[in-house]
Amino acid sequence: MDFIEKIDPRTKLVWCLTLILTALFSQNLILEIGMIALVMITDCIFSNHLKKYKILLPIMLLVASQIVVIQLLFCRDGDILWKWGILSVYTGAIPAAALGISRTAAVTLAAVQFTTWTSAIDAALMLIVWGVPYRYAMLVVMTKRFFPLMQKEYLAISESQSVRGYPSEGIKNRIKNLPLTFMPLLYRTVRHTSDIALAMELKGYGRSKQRTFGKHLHLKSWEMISMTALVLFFITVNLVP
Amino acid sequence: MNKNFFRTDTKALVGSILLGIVFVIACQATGFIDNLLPTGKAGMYLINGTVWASFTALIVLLYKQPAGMIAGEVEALISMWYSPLWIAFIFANAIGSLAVSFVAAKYSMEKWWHHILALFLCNVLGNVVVCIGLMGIYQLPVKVAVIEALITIAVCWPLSTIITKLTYDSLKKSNLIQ
Repeated sequence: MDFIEKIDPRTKLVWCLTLILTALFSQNLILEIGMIALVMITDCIFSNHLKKYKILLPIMLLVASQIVVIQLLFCRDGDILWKWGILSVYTGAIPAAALGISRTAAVTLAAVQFTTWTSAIDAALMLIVWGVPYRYAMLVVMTKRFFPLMQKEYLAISESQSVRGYPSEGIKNRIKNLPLTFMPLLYRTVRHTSDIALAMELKGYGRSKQRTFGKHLHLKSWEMISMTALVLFFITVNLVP
Repeated sequence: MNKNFFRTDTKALVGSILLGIVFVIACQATGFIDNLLPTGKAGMYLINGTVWASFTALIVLLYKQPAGMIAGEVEALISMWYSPLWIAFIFANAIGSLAVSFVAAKYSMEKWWHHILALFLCNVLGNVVVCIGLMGIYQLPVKVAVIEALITIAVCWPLSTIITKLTYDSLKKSNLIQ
């Protein structure tokens, strides 16, 4: 078992929240870049798996382009850099866009790191420790189980529509076919809900108030110290003038 | 069927998860389309906002609370993979869903004006939170964020009302919901 899997999910959550809140409160571009670097370094050390961030790259580029466009259009700080008709670009647009992009990247990377570091069962156990009834806590595990299944269902509907004469290859066709694919998906989801809920109830889901698990969460002393250190770090960086 | 605020049976919980996942897929697809459009590039998610409001209302009408909030939070938490505004979505989805619940608990949701009221509250409250998110995360100037939110509400409110009412009626007709 990897070291990261042995760490309590609460410690990972405090780490993630420290990064996210620091990124959100900070107005310092260097600190934002530092947060991104911290996520990458810790991932290299603990899980050595940076491939997951490759999926985020096109999304980040899309978001970055959006932030740049917004700032170029609407930022009114600094001096006029370029003017054409009603469009005016100010010098403040570039630093504001850079801060927005780095903050977005820091927040997203920290959140993705937490989700990839924490298994669904650990997240469910964490909720149970906080007093959430197991019927609700287990929904985290259910989401992880059903997400790929529902995606496959969507692709199956999309392919069935292409058999009926609506081509589904390429982004353009997929966008065109959205209304044709979403209504059947909605109907099938509602139908599956009844079947799955019935199957779960027949297996005793929700019958008793308690449920046993093969794993239990224990906060170790070094984890408590780490969490305190993280809280102190957050206060020092963000709240001390 | 209406007039209740809570529904905690297994069907409602499973429904919240499955519809929450469909909600994610729908928002992912429409968010991508919005990002390609000039309005989306300028920060106004018109198609995404319409689909968001419709799904939020539909889930509440089908499975009530806490299913509405669970589905909303599933969408918000999974959206961290594709939208930087996911922190704002955590609050927007909860508030939007609660607003629809309050209206659905009071009215039968059989008339158009019931849906108009529910979707108005859902769109306004949700967009107020997203507006704060646009200012905090995207560093958008206050005036611009408010104008963008108003345009989004003006477009999404009527469209989402029509979609929700028609979809809800067709689901009721299909006898899939009881």
